[in-house]
Amino acid sequence: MNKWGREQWIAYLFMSPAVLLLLAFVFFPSGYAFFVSLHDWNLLGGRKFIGFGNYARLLNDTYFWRSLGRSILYASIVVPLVFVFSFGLALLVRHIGKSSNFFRTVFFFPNLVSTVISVLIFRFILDSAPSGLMNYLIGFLGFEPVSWLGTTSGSWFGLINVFFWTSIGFYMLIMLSGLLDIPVDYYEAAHIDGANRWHSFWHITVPQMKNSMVFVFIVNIINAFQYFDLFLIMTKGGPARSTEITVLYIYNLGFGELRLGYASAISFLLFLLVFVLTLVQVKLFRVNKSVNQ
Amino acid sequence: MRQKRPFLHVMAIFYTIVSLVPTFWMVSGSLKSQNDFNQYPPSFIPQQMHFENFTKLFNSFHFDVYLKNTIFVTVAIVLLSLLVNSMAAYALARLTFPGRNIIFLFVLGSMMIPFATYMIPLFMVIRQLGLINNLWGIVVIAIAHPFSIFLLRQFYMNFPKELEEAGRIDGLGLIGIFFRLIVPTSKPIFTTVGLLVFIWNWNNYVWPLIVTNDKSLWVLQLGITSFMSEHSAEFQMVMAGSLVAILPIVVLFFSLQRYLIEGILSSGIKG
Repeated sequence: MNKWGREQWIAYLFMSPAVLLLLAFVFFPSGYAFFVSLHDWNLLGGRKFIGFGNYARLLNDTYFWRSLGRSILYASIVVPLVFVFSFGLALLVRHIGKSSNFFRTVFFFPNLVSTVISVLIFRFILDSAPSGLMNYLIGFLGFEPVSWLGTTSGSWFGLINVFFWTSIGFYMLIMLSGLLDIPVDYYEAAHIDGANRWHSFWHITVPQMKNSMVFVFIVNIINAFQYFDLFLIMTKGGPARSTEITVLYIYNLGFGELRLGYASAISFLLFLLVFVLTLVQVKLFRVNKSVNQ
Repeated sequence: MRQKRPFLHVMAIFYTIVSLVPTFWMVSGSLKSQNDFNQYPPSFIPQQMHFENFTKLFNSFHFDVYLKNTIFVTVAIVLLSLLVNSMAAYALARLTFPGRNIIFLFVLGSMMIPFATYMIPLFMVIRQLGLINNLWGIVVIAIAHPFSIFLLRQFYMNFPKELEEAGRIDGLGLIGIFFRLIVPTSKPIFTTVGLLVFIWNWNNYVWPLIVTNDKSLWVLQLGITSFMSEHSAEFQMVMAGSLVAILPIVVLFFSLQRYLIEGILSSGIKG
């Protein structure tokens, strides 16, 4: 019997503000999204129940399918990129010796810069004039100035650059914390048994890092499908909708065209997609559920 | 045992440059004049420092208002969220009550729902509450924060029992134990979590954009994007505005850097 038994109600008292706020501002709106998606619902006009009409419309909406294709493409570029480089930087910081604290702080630094400001800085670096920093640098290599954000491929290059720059530091720290948790004895024992560095890396570092890696991987995928502030600020989906990812399409439908019902239908589908992706990964990697251990 | 590894150092220095140059470019840009931008080759350090860019921002472009709004919103969120989330985390970590595991799963589950999938209905909820065009409309949705609850719970789980037992002997109830004994000893974790929440909310853009239309309620991130679209040619002012928006965070980070980085490293985030 728990010794605070008489004061059990206090536990509920302590929990209640957080639980009520999460119910009101996360769970209720999430469920409500499905309800809204069953209506033809305009922010200014009225609403009309149309069942699964929005979902039927979605099947023939090429803008939606193209945006989904872009989201998947974006995730499949960004997720491996961040994964490999955050791991690489963590290894670098782990093995660099005395200056490790300095470098981990410096590598984390860009995470402090907001998406808005990173975009402004990179727009300025990627300016199409010959005096823009990037054009100046490639000028050294003999290239002509490029109108970076005027072309589709240049825009993607800019977007991925900004995303990479602003998010790598945090994931590097997660990877580093996994590396620091591996007992040094493991490596010493392996060394005595005649393992070389490559063996130690594959047979000790990688398996011991499993939890950190899975965390970085899953969080990255969820984020790649949900963040759009970068796109909203940097390209607004342009040029000619060529960088309009699904979440940005939802935002434009909801807050631009005020078509709440249709936007919610896409939101709900996106939620299912992310949910299934997460479940598949959790199953695939058989994550330890208990965070306590 | 320890060898010199020149290759590692070269790579580390290379990525240091990648990390710092964009911010340096912003600082140098904020002190240039309009004409300096047409100059080729571009200069890293402007010949003449134009500090008047900053006074112009505050005197003619409302950056004082944006700064005040940002400080209000961020400080309110940090204080309220520390209170609400530490209470919840403490209950989850130290108290046993029916439904505890379900509530914890519920908290973790809310982390898995992408914000973008419920932002439209959330906007409708906030509108029903009459909080559109109100700074509290930005604050209320950010108070309960599952990730903070998770980090604080990890901290309280490894907390020594003796403190609570001593409180019991002194005749304190649970509420007294929490507020008089637990909260004062939670300073390091409060600093870590508070700093993370501060950075995220200071830098938040999408939700304030959705909630506020009125210029007098804008936060810095909104003020500066709007400035950018109206005066896109004035690079030096855009960069000066960016510097104003980033400076408080940088100062805070470097004074409390250890708490943040050590906090993330030891938090057991990766499970």
